[in-house]
Amino acid sequence: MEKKVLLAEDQPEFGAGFELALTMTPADVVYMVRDSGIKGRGGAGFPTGIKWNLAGAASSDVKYVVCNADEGEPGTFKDRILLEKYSERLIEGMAIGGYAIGSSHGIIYLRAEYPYLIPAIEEARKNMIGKGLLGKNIRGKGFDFDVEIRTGSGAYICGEETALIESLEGKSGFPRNKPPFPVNSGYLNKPTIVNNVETFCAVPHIILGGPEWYADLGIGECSGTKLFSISGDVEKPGVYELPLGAPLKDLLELAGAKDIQAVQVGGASGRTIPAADTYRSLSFGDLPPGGSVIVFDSTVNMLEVLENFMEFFVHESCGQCVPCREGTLHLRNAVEDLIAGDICNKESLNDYFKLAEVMRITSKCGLGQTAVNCFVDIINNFVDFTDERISGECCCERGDQ
Amino acid sequence: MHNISIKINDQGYSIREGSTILEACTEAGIKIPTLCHHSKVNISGNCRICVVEVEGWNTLAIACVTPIIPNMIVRTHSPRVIESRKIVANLLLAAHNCDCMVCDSAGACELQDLAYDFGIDNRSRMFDDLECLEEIDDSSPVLKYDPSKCIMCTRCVKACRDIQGKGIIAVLNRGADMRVGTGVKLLDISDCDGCGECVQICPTGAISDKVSNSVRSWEVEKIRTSCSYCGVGCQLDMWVHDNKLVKVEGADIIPNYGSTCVKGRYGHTFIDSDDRLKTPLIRRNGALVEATWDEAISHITEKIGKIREENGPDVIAGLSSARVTNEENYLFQKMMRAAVGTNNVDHCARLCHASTVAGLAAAFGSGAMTNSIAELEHAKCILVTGSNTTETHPVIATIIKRAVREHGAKLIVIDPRRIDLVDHAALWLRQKNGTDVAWMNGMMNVIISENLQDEAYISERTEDFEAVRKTVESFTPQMVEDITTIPAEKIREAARIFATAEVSSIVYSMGITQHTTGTDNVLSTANLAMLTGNVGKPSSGVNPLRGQNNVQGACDLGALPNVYPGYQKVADPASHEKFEKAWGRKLSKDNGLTVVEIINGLESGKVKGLIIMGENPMVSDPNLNHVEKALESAEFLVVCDIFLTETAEKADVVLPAASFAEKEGTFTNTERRVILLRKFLDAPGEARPDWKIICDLSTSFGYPMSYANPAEIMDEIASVTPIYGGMRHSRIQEIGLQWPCPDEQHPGTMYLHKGEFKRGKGKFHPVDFIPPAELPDAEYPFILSTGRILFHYHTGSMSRRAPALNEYVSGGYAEIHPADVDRLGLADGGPVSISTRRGQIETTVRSTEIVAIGSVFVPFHFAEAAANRLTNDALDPKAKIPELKVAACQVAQVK
Amino acid sequence: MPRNPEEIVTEGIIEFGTGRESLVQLLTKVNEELSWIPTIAIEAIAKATRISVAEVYSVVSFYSFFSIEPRGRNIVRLCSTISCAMTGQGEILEALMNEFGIELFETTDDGRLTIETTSCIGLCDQAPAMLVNGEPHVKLTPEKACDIVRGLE
Ligand SMILES: Cc1cc2nc3c(=O)[nH]c(=O)nc-3n(C[C@H](O)[C@H](O)[C@H](O)COP(=O)(O)O)c2cc1C
Ligand code: SF4
Ligand code: SF4
Ligand code: SF4
Ligand code: SF4
Ligand code: FES
Ligand code: FES
Repeated sequence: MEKKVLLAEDQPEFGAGFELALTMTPADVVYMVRDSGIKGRGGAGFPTGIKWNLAGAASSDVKYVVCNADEGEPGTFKDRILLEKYSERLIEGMAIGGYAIGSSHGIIYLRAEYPYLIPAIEEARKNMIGKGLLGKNIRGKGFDFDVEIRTGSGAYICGEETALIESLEGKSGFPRNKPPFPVNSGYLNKPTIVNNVETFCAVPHIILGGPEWYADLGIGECSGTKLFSISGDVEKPGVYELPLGAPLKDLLELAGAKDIQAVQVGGASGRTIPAADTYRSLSFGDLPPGGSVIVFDSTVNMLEVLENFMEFFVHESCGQCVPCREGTLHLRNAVEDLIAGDICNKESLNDYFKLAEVMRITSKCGLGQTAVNCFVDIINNFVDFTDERISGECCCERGDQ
Repeated sequence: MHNISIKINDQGYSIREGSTILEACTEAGIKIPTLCHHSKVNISGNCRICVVEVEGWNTLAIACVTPIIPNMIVRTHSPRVIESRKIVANLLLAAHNCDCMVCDSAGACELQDLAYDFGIDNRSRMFDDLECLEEIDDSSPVLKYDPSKCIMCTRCVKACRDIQGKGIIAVLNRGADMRVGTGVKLLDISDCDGCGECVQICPTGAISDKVSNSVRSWEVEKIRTSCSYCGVGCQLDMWVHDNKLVKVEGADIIPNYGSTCVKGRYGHTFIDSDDRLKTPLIRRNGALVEATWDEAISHITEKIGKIREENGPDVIAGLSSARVTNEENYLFQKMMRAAVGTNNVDHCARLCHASTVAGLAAAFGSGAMTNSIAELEHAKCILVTGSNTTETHPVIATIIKRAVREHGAKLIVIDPRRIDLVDHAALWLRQKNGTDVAWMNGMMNVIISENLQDEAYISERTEDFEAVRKTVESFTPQMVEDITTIPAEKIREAARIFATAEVSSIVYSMGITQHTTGTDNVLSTANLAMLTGNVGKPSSGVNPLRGQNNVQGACDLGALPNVYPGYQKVADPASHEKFEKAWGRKLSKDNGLTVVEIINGLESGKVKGLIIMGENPMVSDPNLNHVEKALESAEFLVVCDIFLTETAEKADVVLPAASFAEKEGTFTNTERRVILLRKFLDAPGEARPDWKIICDLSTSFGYPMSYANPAEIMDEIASVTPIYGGMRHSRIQEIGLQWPCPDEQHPGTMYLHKGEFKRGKGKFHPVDFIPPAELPDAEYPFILSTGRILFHYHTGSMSRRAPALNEYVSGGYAEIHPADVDRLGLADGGPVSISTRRGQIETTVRSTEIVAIGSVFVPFHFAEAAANRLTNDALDPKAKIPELKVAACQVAQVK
Repeated sequence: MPRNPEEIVTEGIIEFGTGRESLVQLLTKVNEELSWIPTIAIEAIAKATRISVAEVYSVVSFYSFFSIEPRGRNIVRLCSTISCAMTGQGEILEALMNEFGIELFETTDDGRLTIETTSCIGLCDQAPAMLVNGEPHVKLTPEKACDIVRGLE
């Protein structure tokens, strides 16, 4: 069932977590975050404490705290809600991050599709300045911190953290080769932490409630709560906050999903599962919870869904590496051929499955590595090669093979 | 950095920490296919063909980007790896216009090799072909881009941006629409200058030479030689087929490491010109008619012999050449001195760097670049003055830009024109033409008054500093501003940057030397460098960039009227005696005449017979109207050249020479590096290498010369020229050697004056400011300067016979500021008349803010609009170099 | 009257400086004010930032919100990703194109309107959705969408 922390009606005053953090040593703040077991809420699920620890240890007089507000994964809109209502919490979380790693520059990279959120963020910054929690020598602790807002310009790939950094540097959003990782050499080659909006928003709660409290919010191995944006064939689309590790079906129930054919968890790059599998848990160990859940009822032609997703990847691939640039095209073409009946049996897709595997293990960034998930899942689980939509008027019968 | 142990294919290796897996495999002798990787540019890691398996990793590792870590276990050819590579290759081929049958790159194409290695034929392709991308851009004069063959490795983009410092091309669009281009424009209206760096680095046929080689890469023979154009001395690989040059590639070796400029790569087509001289010509009844070699040689011997008999040897003079080899220069001056018996031998260095030789010899004891080209990359401050390096020494300019971009050097440009390097500079000072001593004294004034000089260096390594301190005292920044128009504050800023940088290097060229105060200017650069302790250490120094391919060598080998080879003075009895002994002849004790004196001498009758080898004073020398008259009044004129140049047309005998392509020998580039020239074509008709011609002439003059080959001549050079003592052809087969190189064990000298100056102590020379000989006035209100441009060379006899170069620039022009263009009612691209007290030319207006208001710049390569009809032949009293850089002129509409 | 692009660039340089990291911001400024990025703006930016013209183009062509073709004063960006596609994005696009007589990525002759599609804009809970000059409009029907666009200046 829902467990509201980030979205709780009644929650600690904005800034309280930061005030408390300021009474601790930066190292202790990092340890608290580490001990809470929180993993990044942007999709990849990297432990935030480890990231901060590395950035804190990197020696440099200038470091950066970057908030990834490029929310572009299809079906994801949880960060929008946070930015609308909880920008102060976000800035607070960034300030704690700055204090923890020794950085006084915060940058919020906001996707160009959300310009109408800028006033809310600016307002939040003003409030924080008003409280004396941004600026020079905060609370007399000799710590300076401020944030600026920078916007993208319509490129999903800029959500990938190194592409985001390139974009901040004024360049095209081509993901970088790693290593070096941003914690050592990020924005302007300085140590940088990049975290999701939700991750930063959770940090003040961790500081206030303590790491154990936070860890216990989750189910089983999982720690904390997680926001899910749910849309598609549901009665009550929207954002829900659940303990991490909750079964998917809880969420589906909350949102009122019926006649489920398929559920996609984690957006276009996530996994697509049949109704029978909705007992599975929303956790990094099982169904990686990017933040998006899309429900498809039985009336939906999943091949068309797949086509839409592949089109998305073709359009959004940055194009620098061969498997992803060329591979997404071929996979899309294969789906089109399936729809047109030019491919009608699974064996003909063998080379495409091999391609998908190569894309997964050789692409430079997460886009190419995960763009194949929906292809593999949907073809394996939702395409009935005996269905006449596939084999009805197919190439074999038309005799053009 | 220490070594770490890793395992590759079950075999243990110890590899330097920080290496990539690819480097480790290369070291282990294991070949991994690559496409986007190229040692000259930053890693992109884009093609994903170089994947390997690392134990414990979920995904494959990209060998070219992944650093090794201790105990890593790598598999380079596991089934998963091979399958991945095959699929990636298939993806590339599906997007590729596989036109290998008609592709110029076939046989030298990395994609083709890959397909071959994996055995991917048309039938076994895994994926359907994708539609090929849009049209070819073949708008450039020299190259074309075919997106259908582009694999988007981005090597070209990085080459243009990071190696060349230009950024003409970039990656456009994203995803499947990605391609390389300049933006909305095609290449022809971009600033692409055709250097071809992108062509050379492209792994496929996507960017290629525009003109097809018309020959398959496996049919050609590749011969390494040295470029015949500028003083950088680029090493080139000539692709030859059927006695024809079909393609030029930069050799990946010092000093150019694969780079060239457009002339080196696309400007050598002149060799094949129809109008090459093929037989000797003798003037009969006013016309030049074909003759045999025997006739020509005996005609010359007879005429020269007669003049000599009647007037003594000193009425005969010879102009040697900065374009022929060291061996030929040596033989030419030896012939003039030993066979003819005069020191009247000079060459066009007089017109470019005589003041360098005089000035730096006085200050340091040696008149050449103190440091090497490659060292510039690591200078922390580079002061470029009087050198439009991008155009005149293009490959050196790329190194300067890299020093700025990659290594954070501060570039100071001091030039009246807004040259390309200004775009890369931390500071640009625009001085009034001909006021160089003033700003240099000004900088020294600031350095001394702010106590930024290197006292220890000055006291230990130099002498006569006090005199300079006194002289520059009065050159306050304010006073200097009044003379030069450079704001005082900028002079201070430049002085501080220059003096406080860890190592500062001065780079200059003809903007410093071609003045009546040329020697003073050079002495000032030496003062400035010594004041800040910047001579005798790496990446510092005073670095005159020498113009022509072998101007350094021609000077080194004694094609100068006052010195024997190796700058051994004629006036020094010991040297004189040494050469009399070595050459077995009585030699003249008197210094000979310089170029301008020889020309003047023709008119006055002081000189009657003139032998010119490979020079074209009818275009290159100042005050051409005067030169023309002078040459016409010569009693007997011999010209030896590869074309019937403007000068050859006036000759009594013309001898057809072999070009650089058709002979062996050595050049000495601007950094004192002796580099090899290899024969890669047969000479046309009866043309012969100059060294053979000289031997024949000299023998016929009664002083027998005979050498089996140029290597033998070099052996003789080494025996009489201490700085070349260790030079042997056998030693420079791979890379050249820098003089001084006193003996056969000596490794050559990267930079001069280490520990001690050649002359002992570095000598400061106080220099006062003297204005140029001719200044604008009411009648001639504009300042005229002349110079070179990228696309042409010297008098154009070579470059103007290269169609590609003509496509870039086909004729003369005058750069005039748009404000002046408007004021005078001229039009950009329209005609204009420019005149000075000495002559007038008509040329085309190029309206540009490169020049200041009130200034005009005219390139000197074009005989029909010859800048040198305008220039002033007023001479520097010490070096006898004419003031080619400043004259007063009128600019007017053509009537 | 749209402002002179060079003037916008000059203003942008005062705001953002000439460092490499200002490039996307400068371009965004021009793009937002003019709806597109004319060549003179690109050249002015290249000159001020010392980034080569080609490289500026490279960045412009990478981001889908930038355009080097003139576009309308009003830009409609209709989401074409799955949640919107499933809820009638196709019909809305059809209706808009019919109503205003232009194809996708085209601009009306009077320079008033350009219609584009875009990837998910994070309004999937209220699909189908579109952005008009950056402002969100949700739960669209063909009629509602046409009304909104008709009401633009
Ligand atoms: C193609 C791609 C798109 C991504 N988009 C986003 C995004 O929109 N927002 C986000 O927070 N993380 C996104 N990420 C993940 C980021 O790279 C990065 O892991 C994340 O910002 C780290 O923050 P976290 O640890 O707080 O999750 C994306 C990754 C990839 C590969
Ligand atoms: S995987 Fe795709 S998006 Fe990522 S770097 Fe490669 S081409 Fe770009
Ligand atoms: S570029 Fe290479 S693979 Fe392509 S057509 Fe030419 S030779 Fe063949
Ligand atoms: S020829 Fe030279 S300048 Fe032109 S695009 Fe290629 S590398 Fe750049
Ligand atoms: S043109 Fe050649 S070098 Fe440039 S990206 Fe294409 S294949 Fe690579
Ligand atoms: S060679 Fe390693 S990725 Fe291209
Ligand atoms: S799919 Fe249209 S807004 Fe997300």
